[in-house]
Amino acid sequence: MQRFLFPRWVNPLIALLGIAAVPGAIFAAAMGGLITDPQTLNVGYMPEQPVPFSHAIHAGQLRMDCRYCHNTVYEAAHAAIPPTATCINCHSPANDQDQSALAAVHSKSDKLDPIHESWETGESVAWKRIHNLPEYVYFNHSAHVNAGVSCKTCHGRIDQMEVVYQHEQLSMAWCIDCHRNYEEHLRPRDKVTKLDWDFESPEKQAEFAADWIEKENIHPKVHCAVCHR
Amino acid sequence: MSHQSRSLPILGQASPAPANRSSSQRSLPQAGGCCSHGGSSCGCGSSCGCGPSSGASIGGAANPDGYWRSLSELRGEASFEEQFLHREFPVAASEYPEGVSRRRWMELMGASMALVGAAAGCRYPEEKILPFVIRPEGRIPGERYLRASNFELAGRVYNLLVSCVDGRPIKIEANPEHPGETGTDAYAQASILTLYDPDRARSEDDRVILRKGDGKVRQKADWSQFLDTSRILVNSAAEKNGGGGVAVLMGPTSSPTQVRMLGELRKKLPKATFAKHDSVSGDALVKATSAVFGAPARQVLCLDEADIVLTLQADVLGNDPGTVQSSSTFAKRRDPINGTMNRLYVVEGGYTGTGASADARLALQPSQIPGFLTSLKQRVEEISGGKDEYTATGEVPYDQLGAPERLERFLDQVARDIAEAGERAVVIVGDAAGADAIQAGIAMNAQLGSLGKAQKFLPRVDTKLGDVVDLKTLAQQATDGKFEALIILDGNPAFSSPADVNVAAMIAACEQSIYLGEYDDETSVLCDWSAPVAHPLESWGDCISDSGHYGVCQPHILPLLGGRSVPEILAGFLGMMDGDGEVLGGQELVRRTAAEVAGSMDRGAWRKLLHDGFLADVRTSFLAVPEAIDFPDLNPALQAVTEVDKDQLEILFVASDGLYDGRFANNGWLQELPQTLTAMSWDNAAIMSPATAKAIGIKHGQKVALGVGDARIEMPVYEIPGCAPGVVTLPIGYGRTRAGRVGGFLDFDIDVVGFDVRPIRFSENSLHVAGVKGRPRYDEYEISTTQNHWAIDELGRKETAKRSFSLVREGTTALLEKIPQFAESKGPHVPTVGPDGVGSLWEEPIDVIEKTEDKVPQWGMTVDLTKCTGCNACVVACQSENNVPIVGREQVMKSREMHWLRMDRYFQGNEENADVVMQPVSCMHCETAPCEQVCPVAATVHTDEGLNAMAYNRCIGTRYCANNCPYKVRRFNYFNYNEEVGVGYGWNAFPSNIESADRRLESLSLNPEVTVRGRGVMEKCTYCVQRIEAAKITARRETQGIVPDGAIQTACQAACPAKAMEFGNLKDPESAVSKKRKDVRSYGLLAQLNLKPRTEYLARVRNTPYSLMTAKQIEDLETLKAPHHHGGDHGHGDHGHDGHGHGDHGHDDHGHGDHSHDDHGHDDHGHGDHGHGEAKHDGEKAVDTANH
Repeated sequence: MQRFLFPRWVNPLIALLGIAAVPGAIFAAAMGGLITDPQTLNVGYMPEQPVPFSHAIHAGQLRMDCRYCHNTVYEAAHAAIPPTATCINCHSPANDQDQSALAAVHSKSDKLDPIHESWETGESVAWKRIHNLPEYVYFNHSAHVNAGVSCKTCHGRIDQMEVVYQHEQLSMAWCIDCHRNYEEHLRPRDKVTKLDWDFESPEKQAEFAADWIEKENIHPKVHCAVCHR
Repeated sequence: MSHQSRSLPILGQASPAPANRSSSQRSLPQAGGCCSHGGSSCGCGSSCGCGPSSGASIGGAANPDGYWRSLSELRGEASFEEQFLHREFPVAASEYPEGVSRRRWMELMGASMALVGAAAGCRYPEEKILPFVIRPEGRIPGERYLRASNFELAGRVYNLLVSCVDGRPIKIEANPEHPGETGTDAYAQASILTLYDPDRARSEDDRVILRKGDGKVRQKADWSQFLDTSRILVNSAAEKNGGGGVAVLMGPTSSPTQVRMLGELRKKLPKATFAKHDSVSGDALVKATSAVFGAPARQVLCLDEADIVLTLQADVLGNDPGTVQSSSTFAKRRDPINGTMNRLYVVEGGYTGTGASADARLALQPSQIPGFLTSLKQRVEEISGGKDEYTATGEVPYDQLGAPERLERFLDQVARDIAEAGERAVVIVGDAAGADAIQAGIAMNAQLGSLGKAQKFLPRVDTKLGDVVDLKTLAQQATDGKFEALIILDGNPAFSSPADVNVAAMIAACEQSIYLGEYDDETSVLCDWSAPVAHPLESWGDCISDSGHYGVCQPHILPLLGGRSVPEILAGFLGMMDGDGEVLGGQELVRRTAAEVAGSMDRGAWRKLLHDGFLADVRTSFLAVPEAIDFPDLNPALQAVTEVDKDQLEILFVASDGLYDGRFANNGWLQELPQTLTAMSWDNAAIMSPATAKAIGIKHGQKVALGVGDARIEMPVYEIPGCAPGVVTLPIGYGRTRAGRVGGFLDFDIDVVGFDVRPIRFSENSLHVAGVKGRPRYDEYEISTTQNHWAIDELGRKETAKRSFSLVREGTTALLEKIPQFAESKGPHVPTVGPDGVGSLWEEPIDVIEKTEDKVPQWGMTVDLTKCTGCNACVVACQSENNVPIVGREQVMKSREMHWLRMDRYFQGNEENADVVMQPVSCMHCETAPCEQVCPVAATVHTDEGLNAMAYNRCIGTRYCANNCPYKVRRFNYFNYNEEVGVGYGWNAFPSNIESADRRLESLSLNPEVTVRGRGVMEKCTYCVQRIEAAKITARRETQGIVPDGAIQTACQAACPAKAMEFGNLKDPESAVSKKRKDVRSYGLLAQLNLKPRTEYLARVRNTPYSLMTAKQIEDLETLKAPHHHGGDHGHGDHGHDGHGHGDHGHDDHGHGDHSHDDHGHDDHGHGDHGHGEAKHDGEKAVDTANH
């Protein structure tokens, strides 16, 4: 039993401990809470990509549809990062004679070097993943876009982003919030990728949503097995 | 009770608890088994025919009412109750594995913690996305796609769809569009794991091994070197003497391309010797079919064409080739209510899966099979000729007769049925019975008219090759010095050959030896050259399926470990070049064969063939029925053997359920798969009945020495009931010394798994040997078996013992006619807490959901026990689909196996004679799930669709849920079983884990749609929620979010060759599963606990004729009453109603049940009509509610 007794001189320290405990707890809670909050951790995450691809130019100014590159979004879980070949459709590299096989927008550009290198060597371009969910979450793009949830609901106005960053928390609470209040996020299926389009008024949206939910049997669930398997 | 005309024993009605219960509480299972053995078997096993009283004394205390899982349970041994029933896990199950010391453990833990510290930043680690440079057309990253393929494994031909993700095959499915019977089995399902087995590699960089000199020192070599040497060898041999000095040894094959290439080789080397060796079946069928048809043929069974099926030492629903075809056609005729029932008679020495499916079974020594056939033929002819000496009656039930009377009654009843059924009866004789007996069986079918209908024969593809010798002849010639070069095409003859063939000497006698094999195995190490053969999933090939259709095998991935297919290698030997000077590739070789088969093969036709997997309009026709087939003279005459002579034992060699002839020894799924009747996993043993063991003087778990002449083996004994006296069954394929890191590899100090039985196996009849001496060896050996694991506790329900046939419920067709609701009668009263909340104090959440959300589907499942043959395909399919880990032998012995779906086996009867019922059990997804109520962190919760979901991430591993699960279907991860595969979990989930993993190639077999669980997490069946969600998402895209019926097939359901399972939406009254649940036989397991299980079972119905019914079956028929219903009870009303309707139906359709009518009509029983009347009368209230 002896070894469990502290020596007597420890006693004053207990008071000290008590004094330190209160601010300590506040500090820990604040720091812990703030640091681990998805708002702090995830929103605004903007890694540097191997190619400074601008969605603002391509999707915004040039008004290319999202699906020109992310063409599997209506059929698959992943919206598929495009293969190098998609880039090459327009940015075909120039050869020694300054001629290119296909359309040649910026056929010689330092910024496009990684693309051209990939095309020539057959090695993939290593894009950095921005919207990253834990491995035990099974998100499916096709389920959402086919239900009429716009890209911008989760990704923000990508068509205005020079460099893409994470716009929303993508946390479980955030997902569930939308699964509970889904009506306001619905739009016609063919307007899903039209990021600059919106209903004339919230009333019109509500009217549409009511019909659409009835027709397409949209009843998102919030139980575990929806996303976790 | 008014029908009870004779007093019948109710097993164990008054038997006291065993005396030794307290004294051996803590003993090991086998040790305990020995203690109480002597007391319970009372010296009058019913094989000696001492009548009704014998049953009662054997009953045992554990389950007095007749179903038991093992002999130790039957005997009420303390070990079973203590180890498995009262405890969730066996004693000491919570300890660390042996082999890792505590200290080592701390080191490991420390290392893991350090990793976390280093890698855990503020965000999850950065991930890179590497898209294609040019994406293949039609490929959608991360989505499953299906490709048709056909291949042959272990002599079975499969017509498959291979499910791939991102270019890697991850799951095997049956091809539903194939015109033949389709389905899968455990081998096909497990082929995925073999594909990703890193041990297939010969070495890291040089895939071909050259072993030189006396010590066979390994040399570096590569493919071009190997092919060049081989080509020179072939060319010089051809020039020298037409290849007289070359020998080729191969296994049986159904591949036209392989046969064509061997034909090319033969053309080049006309004097070469070709030998064929079937490592399991031997050549009995070859001899028999050669005698009948003039050429070897392959047997194809269409059991749906037969009303009466008699198998003699043939495991048609188990291990025989063509089991998918047989099970599928058999199950088509196992629908007692909406369809018809055939009748399966099984005569066998050991106990097989086919025996478990039998309607009536006779245990008979294999040596008696010829005599049985002769007697049968004689009787059938007599009965057909009008001579009718009716003997198949008697007061004593079939299972209580002595052996001679039992044999007589069985023979008589079978003969009677066969004579009556005529061309709708088929006799199937297994290979172990020998060529003459097989020929006699074919002759009998020809006489009956079923040859060419229920039993068909396809020409063997490999007969085109011309004359081949057998392995023994080849070995003899080789040791005589006839050959300079020996080429061995796979099959590992050094391990799979019988004892009288010295393969090592054969190889040593040849100057050059070449082995083409999947593994660097026992044969490879003896040969000069060892070249890797590619797996069927990574190579081109073809085969002729059981339906006669030509099918193509296409690769789904490039060879992972540098292998090539046998035809490709042979093309290299022959120097067959294409226009560019390259050796012809597999695709071109197969395409040329396909063109030969189809007549022509343009690009379009070839693409279509690859897409479909088969040629629809070209078909190998079945062999015509010859005009006359001799019925050979068979000896000896039939006689009932009652005494076991320990100097005259008979041994039956069977391909083991998982390993076949040992070729799957390095496949962890198949090693861990509990075998059909013994549930042994990672082990084999000498399987015999208690009477045989007693005669030898040995007990379960002790070792026995079995000797033939000078040869002798020692192995542990496994006692199961129902084996013929004096017959020992030995599963082959165990004891591999160079299988790999899973199946044993002595050079790397990896323990051998199981016991090699080869020393007493001889080529004369490689499946059967008689005159074996058995001697006791008193060493104890702990057999690894799951038989007693996860026993569902019913001890607390002893007061309802008399009617507690509730876990598995079975009846006979006669009982079904009399009391359609027998399944309900046999169960205890189920409380009436209906969907409307009637009888309940509150509305359950699921009731509210079902009421308010009318478009939300409610998933449910049914398992038809009448169709299930217990083949285990579902178990492996589940393991493959759901990333269920392999735990290893040591962990299995601690009851830590992880199978989400297990096959329960229940015996009924006594120690010597017992029937078996198989029951697949997985999570029932109870609506009022007890597991959910005890989880402190809400990690297991109910979904709106009625699934009992597991959120692995929430689970903190308290294991309360498993303790509270009455079905014992929850599995706990005691360790990171996926660590060596390279997948971490939770805080240990780093992509970098894979780099340091031992078996990282195996991680490719993991299904990306299912979370890989880690240590400390509970898991269980999810109803394949990933497939449900996938179907819902497809429905969102295509059908307004409504999932059509049949769109979801769970992995187990899709794998089942018998189509015994249905899955779907219970809310839709038109769905297949709803219809099945309305079947009168449908019952919920432990439904009396008000759990409302979503999986229901359809009671097993045996089509047993009255004269062959067991005491229990007769008792049921005579005393069982229709269920008694309370008025105004809706839940029950449904049942009663359906029962009634179906009952009528069944009656109409029971043309084939006529025999059973007649039989019990002769006796004291009412005819079907009467039976009905009585049922109505007895269950007046049931009928009342039915009319609601």
